[in-house]
Amino acid sequence: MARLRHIAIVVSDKERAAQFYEKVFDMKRVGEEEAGGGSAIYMSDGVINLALLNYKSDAMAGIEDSKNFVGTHHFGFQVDDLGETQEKIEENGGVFHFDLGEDEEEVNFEKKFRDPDGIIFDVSKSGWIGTDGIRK
Amino acid sequence: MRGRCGRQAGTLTSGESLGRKPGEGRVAAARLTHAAICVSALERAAKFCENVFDIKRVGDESFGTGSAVYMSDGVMNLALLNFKSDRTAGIEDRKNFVGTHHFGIQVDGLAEAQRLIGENGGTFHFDFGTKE
Repeated sequence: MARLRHIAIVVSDKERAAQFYEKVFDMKRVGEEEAGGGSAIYMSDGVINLALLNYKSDAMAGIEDSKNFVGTHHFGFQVDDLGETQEKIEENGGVFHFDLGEDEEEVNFEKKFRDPDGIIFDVSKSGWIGTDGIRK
Repeated sequence: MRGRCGRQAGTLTSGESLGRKPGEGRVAAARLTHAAICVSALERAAKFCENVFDIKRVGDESFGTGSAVYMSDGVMNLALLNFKSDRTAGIEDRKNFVGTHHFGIQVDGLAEAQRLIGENGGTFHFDFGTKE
């Protein structure tokens, strides 16, 4: 069974958001990342990774007018086999979106898709930093 | 949105074994256990999740302002939603909205959590359900 271990939200101010989840819910800051298409702070409750995101491009965000968007953006499943999962996704009406990362074995690597409604989700083999099933 | 019965069915208190020592003034052992997406067809979305990810259908519910099918991987509850009102959805033009809508954090003390949320700049939206 795939494991739902990643929720990503777009925020206006990552640092302020990180402090909110630290102060209110005692979540831990487990990592951060800067990339060409955006930046992230990763939070965790020890099981689930909560990504606080800023996107720099509509293409990376997968939405129009991403500059004015804040909200819950996507979620991710950790799976054992990316190729088999992609086949199942496409057989069931999902569409490949893009890969985020270069090495499928790396933590935080995401293969992004849209479901039949166009909703963005991603799958990862090694999982996300801060989760219970991460493959280091 | 909180599934009054369905959410409970497939959700384990996954954060309880973390052995954390919460900081003073923070919600003890808060656990991310719920993600909710708005879909155009509940049944089609449930079958997609079952067929692709092998996650289980653990409940469904119809309420005045919407309906839901609840899926679970045994730890996280994934709610598939159709809202019938913009107010419940909390967004304008919800008829045309599909996408990831909100997420949920299980806490031990709702009042304490609400106090801390308010103190840190969050605002109350509404209660869903009749019992805490």
